[in-house]
Amino acid sequence: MNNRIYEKDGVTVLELKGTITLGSGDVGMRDHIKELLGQGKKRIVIDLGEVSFMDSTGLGELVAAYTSARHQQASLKLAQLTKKIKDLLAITQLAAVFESYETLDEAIASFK
Amino acid sequence: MPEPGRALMHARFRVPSDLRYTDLFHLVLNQMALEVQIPEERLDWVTLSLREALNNAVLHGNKKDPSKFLEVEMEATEEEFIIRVWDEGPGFNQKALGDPRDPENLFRPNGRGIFLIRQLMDHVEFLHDEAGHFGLEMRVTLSKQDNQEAMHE
Repeated sequence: MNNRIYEKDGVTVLELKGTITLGSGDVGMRDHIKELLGQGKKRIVIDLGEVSFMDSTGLGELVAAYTSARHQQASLKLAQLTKKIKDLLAITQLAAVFESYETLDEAIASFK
Repeated sequence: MPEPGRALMHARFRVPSDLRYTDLFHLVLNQMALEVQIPEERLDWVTLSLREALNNAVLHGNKKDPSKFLEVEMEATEEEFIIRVWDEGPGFNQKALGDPRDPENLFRPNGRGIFLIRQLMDHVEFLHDEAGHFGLEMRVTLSKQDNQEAMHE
């Protein structure tokens, strides 16, 4: 998994790729979020457009990231959810927890 | 014609209890799906359910003990695709599983695996064999027409 972190219009984008499952991508995502919050980043978008598969561990990591961000007065939003990830969030009722956007630009603009 | 309910394919694997085999079974399932035509729109959900069951067996059933074993069965009949994941643990109290959608559980990072399996598969059953091993059986209904076409190609 080659994740990418970059800044756009004052927002930090964490672009995740590949699978986020137990033992694959889950720890990497957690470490990235910890690092960004440690750097004092307050506006974070997780771009899920290139995530091909996610399991309950991946969902749990998203929840943990959201909770950690809130504890540090940071805001974490999601962008470019695949249909499968949208369905998973709907089934688990996590769709009501996360602010999510169809496109990355919409997610970034939402901070203005 | 095969009798209703009779297995057309039945594969059984026994491996040491280790998460590294999850990807192997993921691949096996995807290969078997080519033969039995699990509805395409459901294959990702069946795969997810298998992975959740395997993770559960290694982490909770066998408590990360690499000297223990996992057994995985995949079976296809004319009507269904059936997966059974066995571990050496005693099983768990189904009633003690909380609903991850409840407000007090919603922000917990874990506790969604079995819930997802129950939501995504057509029938889920908890089993115990003669040796006291615990099994999680998951069934998905196959598209009859697609399945017969695949078998006769």
